[in-house]
Amino acid sequence: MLKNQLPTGVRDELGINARIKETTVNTIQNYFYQRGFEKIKTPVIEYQDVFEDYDVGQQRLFKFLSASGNSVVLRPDMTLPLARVLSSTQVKLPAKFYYSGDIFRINKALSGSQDEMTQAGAELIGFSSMKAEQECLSMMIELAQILELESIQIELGLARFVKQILEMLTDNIDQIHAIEEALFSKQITKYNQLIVAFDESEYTSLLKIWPRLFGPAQDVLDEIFPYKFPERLQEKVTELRQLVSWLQVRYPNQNVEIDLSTRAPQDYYTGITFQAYSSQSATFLFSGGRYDHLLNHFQKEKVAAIGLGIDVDQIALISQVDCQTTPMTYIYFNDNQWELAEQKLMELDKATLCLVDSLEEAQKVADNNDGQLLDLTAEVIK
Amino acid sequence: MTERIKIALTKGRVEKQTLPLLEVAGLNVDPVYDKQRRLIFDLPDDPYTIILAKGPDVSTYLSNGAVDIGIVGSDILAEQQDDAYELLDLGIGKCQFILASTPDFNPKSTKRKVIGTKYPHITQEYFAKRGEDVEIIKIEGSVELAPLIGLADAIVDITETGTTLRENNLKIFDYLREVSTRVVVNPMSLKQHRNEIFDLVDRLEGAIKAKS
Repeated sequence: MLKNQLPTGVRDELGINARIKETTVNTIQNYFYQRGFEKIKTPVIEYQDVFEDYDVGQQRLFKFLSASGNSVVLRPDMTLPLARVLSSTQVKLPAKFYYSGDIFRINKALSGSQDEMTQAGAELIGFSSMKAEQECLSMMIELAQILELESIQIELGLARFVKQILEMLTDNIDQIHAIEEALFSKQITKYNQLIVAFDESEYTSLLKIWPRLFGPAQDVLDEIFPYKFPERLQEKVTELRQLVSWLQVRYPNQNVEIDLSTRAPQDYYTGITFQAYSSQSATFLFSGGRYDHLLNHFQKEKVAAIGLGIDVDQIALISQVDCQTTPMTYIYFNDNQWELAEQKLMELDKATLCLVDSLEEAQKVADNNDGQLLDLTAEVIK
Repeated sequence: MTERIKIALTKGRVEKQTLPLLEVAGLNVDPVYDKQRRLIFDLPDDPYTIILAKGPDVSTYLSNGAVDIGIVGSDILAEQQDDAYELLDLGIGKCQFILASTPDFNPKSTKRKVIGTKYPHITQEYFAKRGEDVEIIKIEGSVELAPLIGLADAIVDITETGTTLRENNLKIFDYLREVSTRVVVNPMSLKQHRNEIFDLVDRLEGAIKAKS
């Protein structure tokens, strides 16, 4: 019988853990709201087609059939549904949105990973200026402070950097793909075998150091300085350089890193990407980037856009570590003492009405929950 | 004090062959040699903690970020398909995936074959590449038994010298991928401890060159 069991990959959230997560979501949403972002909420269920052309759509998803016989999925991503909304409504651009909700992906069973994850985030649609990147980075840094995350590291990247350089070296798509895969997953032995083919190109030395092309921003920028990139890529590299300088002036105490050796967080990203992690986290806490072509996928016109996603579960998990619980006060009262009981409830820091009919039972409730008892019936007698 | 880097080392054969390499790389691993019943060892002279675990668990610890570095066979990595970075081939623990069975086995027969293996994923992939659909039976130990007692038509397993196969009158019908011990890293750990991890990898690479 499965009636009192949960499928693997999902979990219940109770008490303090659920509370921390709720507070985290509220803090994030209020922050975006105060910055003049508009709330958007999309359904958990979407047509599979929304995700199909992207990496997220290729993962294992919870899939079933709609009443009309079309494949629908539990959404694995929050940005693609937003793009769908924008392309099918008359929302005036530019616009800024924020969201929070659950996304679903089927992970390897019994591996400890969760299939239902809570994500919050913001999307800035219709801004092609670098000010959009700057606002996202500012929000990331400030939210990390508000959420009291320790020693946040910011990492910048360039989507399609790897691909565009490899395209300079060869037009063999399979070869590009193989090198990309080996580089991104750092299969060093395989990678070294694959790059032998380009032993005498202008990028040979870059190819050799590429798997280690990440670390403190200035170091990485210095490493790539000698190389001449195709014009389109050079523009992006210049932007990256400008963004690093801007960060160093605006947030002089913030560590900034660059990674030009890994896959962009989402394959729909087209420009600068940014992520952040803390020393306490096993995954990225913030992740975002520019995706100027995404709306083009749903409609005719291309629209500049940039998004920032936040892993609420990870942040809540970190916050739990140093969370102390104050004991609950259980207020026991007679039914002619409702007014007094309500008054005490308001006064006390953490209290609840104890709805039992005898003092003995009330004491038991308090004891079982490591709380204390406030007996109002005794006070009246005094 | 700097945070210790946690290394999960596959116990048994991989452990025995890796410890001398770590020594050549300049690490004092005496506590691991003198292990008694312990499983966790803080190295006295280096900021590393060695954790002994079974191969598939090394992979699980790594993908959950419970350890930073794993030293594990490529057979297990291929079977588990986790997204760890594979930074170095230690060139030890070498063996080979094979398809084997009793001499009367006919690989060209058209029936849907039953294959016994500890590695269902690799088996699936191999037969899919050949355009063949097979029924896979997962076996935990002594895979050689399966064709002998009639549980399976053939087996996919790893072999170092082929001795066990020969002693059980099994014949090798095909060679699949080669296996060796790899140094794998959790992607997030590599960001957090870039220099320490690359330092260890470079020292190990030097140790391999010194040995050969």
